[in-house]
Amino acid sequence: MQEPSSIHLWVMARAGVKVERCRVEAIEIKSSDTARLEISTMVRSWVNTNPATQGIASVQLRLVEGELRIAIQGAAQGAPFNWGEVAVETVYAENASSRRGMAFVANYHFEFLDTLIEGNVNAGLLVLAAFHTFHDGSHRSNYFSREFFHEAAL
Amino acid sequence: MNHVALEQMQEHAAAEAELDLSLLAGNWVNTNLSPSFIRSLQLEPGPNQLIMRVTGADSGSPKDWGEATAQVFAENTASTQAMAFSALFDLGGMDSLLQGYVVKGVLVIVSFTRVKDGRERSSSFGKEFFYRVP
Repeated sequence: MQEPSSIHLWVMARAGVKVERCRVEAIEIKSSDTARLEISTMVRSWVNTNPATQGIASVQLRLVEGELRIAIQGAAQGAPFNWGEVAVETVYAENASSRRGMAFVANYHFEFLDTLIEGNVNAGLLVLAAFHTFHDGSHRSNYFSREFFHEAAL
Repeated sequence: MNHVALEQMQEHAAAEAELDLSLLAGNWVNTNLSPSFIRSLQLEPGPNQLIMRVTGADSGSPKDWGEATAQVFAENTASTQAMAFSALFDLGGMDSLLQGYVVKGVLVIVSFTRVKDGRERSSSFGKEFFYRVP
C-alpha cells in the first residue's frame, strides 16, 4: 500500500467546512487487465470541457510499471485542489471480445468521503462519473456528478 | 440511556439524508429490442436505498441476476432528489458494477463487468437505455 500522500480540500471547501487535514490512500489492487488490454487511448492528460467547473478540473492517467494510475485536480473557487493519485482498480474493454481498454474504475478514500470514479473514453472524449458518499455525520446528501474531458493540448 | 449516547443516536439519524426515490423506482425495459447485456430491471424503494433486480440478455451471464442493493445519490449535496445509483452484482465468475442515472425520464445504465475466473473474455464496458413501464 502506498503511503497516504495528498491533501484534499475540494469537497470540504465547497461545503464551507474548514479542513485541517484529509488523506488519500492508494488502492492496493493491481488489475491483470491492465497488462492484457491496450490502453493507449486513455493514457494521457485530460482537461474538463467546462472551464468553469466546480467539480474536477483535470485528470491525468498514466502507466507506472504496468499499473494504470489516475491523478485528479479538483476545482473550487477557481483554484485547483490535488486529490492525489491512486491505482485504477480495473480496466474494461469496449466489449467482451475486444482488447481495446476504454473504461476504468477507481476509488478515492478521504477521511470524510468516499468517491467512486467510473470513466470511459469514446471518440476522444473522457466521461467521468463520480459517486460521492459522505461518512462524516453531516447532513449533506450523497451525490453523483458527471463531467466531460478533452485531451490536454501539449 | 445517557444524554451523550442519545445525542449521538440523534446525530447519526440526522446525518443520513433521506432521498426521494421516485425518479428511479419502478420497472424499466431496454429501449433496444435486442439488448446486448440487460433486458429489463426493477428498482424497489427501501430505506434510503433501492433493491435492484435485473433480467439479463447476455448468453454469457445468467438470465436472472438476482437482487442487489443500490446506493442512491442526489444531484448535489443539498438536493433530496435521488437521480443516480450504483449497484454491484455478483454473477459467479464475473461481477458487474452498474451505474445508473435518469435524464429526461430515460434511465441510462453504464455497466463495468469484470471477469474474475480467467475465462476467455475481456472485462467490458457497456451503456444501455431504459424506459419506465407500469
